[in-house]
Amino acid sequence: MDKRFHAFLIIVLAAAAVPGAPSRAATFAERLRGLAGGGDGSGSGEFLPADQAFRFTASVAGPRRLSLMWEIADGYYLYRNRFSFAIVKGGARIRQDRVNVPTGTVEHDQSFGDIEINTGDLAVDLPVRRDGAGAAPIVLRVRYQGCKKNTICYPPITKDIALTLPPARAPQ
Amino acid sequence: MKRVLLTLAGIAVVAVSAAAGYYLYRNGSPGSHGDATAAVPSAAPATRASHVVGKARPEFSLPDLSGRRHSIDEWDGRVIALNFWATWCPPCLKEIPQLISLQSEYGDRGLQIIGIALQKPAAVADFARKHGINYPVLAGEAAVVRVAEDYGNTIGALPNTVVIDRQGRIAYARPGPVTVEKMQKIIRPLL
Repeated sequence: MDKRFHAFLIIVLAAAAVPGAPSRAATFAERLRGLAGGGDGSGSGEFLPADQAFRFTASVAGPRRLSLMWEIADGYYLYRNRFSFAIVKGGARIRQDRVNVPTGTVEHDQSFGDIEINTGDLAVDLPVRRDGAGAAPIVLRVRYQGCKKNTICYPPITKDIALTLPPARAPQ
Repeated sequence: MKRVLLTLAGIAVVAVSAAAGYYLYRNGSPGSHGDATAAVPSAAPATRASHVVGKARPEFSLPDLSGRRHSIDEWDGRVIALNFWATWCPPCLKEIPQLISLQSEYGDRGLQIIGIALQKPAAVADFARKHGINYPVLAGEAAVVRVAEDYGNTIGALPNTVVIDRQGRIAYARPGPVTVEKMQKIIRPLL
């Protein structure tokens, strides 16, 4: 009887205590981390890396046109006057006089005065002047800069993108 | 009955050992790394600790605004606040008057704020003079990016503040603006 009682006790207590220990220990550890201000360990939990804050894609929209797109995360913005576009390799040039970054909203900053910012989805078309009619591999360099409102700013971001303009049939 | 008690005691030991073992497995040995985030004052509950918190501060040297190189170990023994910033960063500029005020108030008690500008020294010198920055400002481009990464800034954003205790261990590190009140809560227990 004693032996069976002991065996019963061992099974019940072991089932209650040992398998439960990891989850209780994890909870305890999580609580400790919470008390210590711990989180995901990145130190940047509430802020996005620049490439996630400003999701950027570039594509060829035609023999003489490139298409750029930014998906700007909620709460983040890009400065309208900090964009720059250039073809740094290949036989083509951006027609700078025909580039139009969509109008943004004007916000007042105590250090910089009125600044125009773009938020949400942003599309920019780049008209291209090309040197020849054949397929043209190019490298497009795009620069932009932005912030999360009232909290952090990112250094200027530079992207070099290799693209190929398809053959052009008609003259420009 | 004695045997029952002995059995219960044995099971309790096993259970506690299992829990402790699991905890150490998940978190490393005491004092080995992240648990040293306890050094972060609990007065900053809304913040997240960086993976560098609790670790010894990395070595670095950078030029000041007159081109003279300084090593971080020049300020060993003081409570150091590294403030990464740039003149193109509005939230950085907003917090500078507060850092100036903190340096004035706590400098005698051992606080040393060090500005680290992510720009060429020449681009910062006028600003520092005009705004009466009363603490050393070091500056650079690629070298500053490396230092910021070493000190836990994985997203490269500014401002970013790191507090180092008198023993040279990182007590606080995170991007985002600071205020006098927030910094007081962090530095006072360390002074």
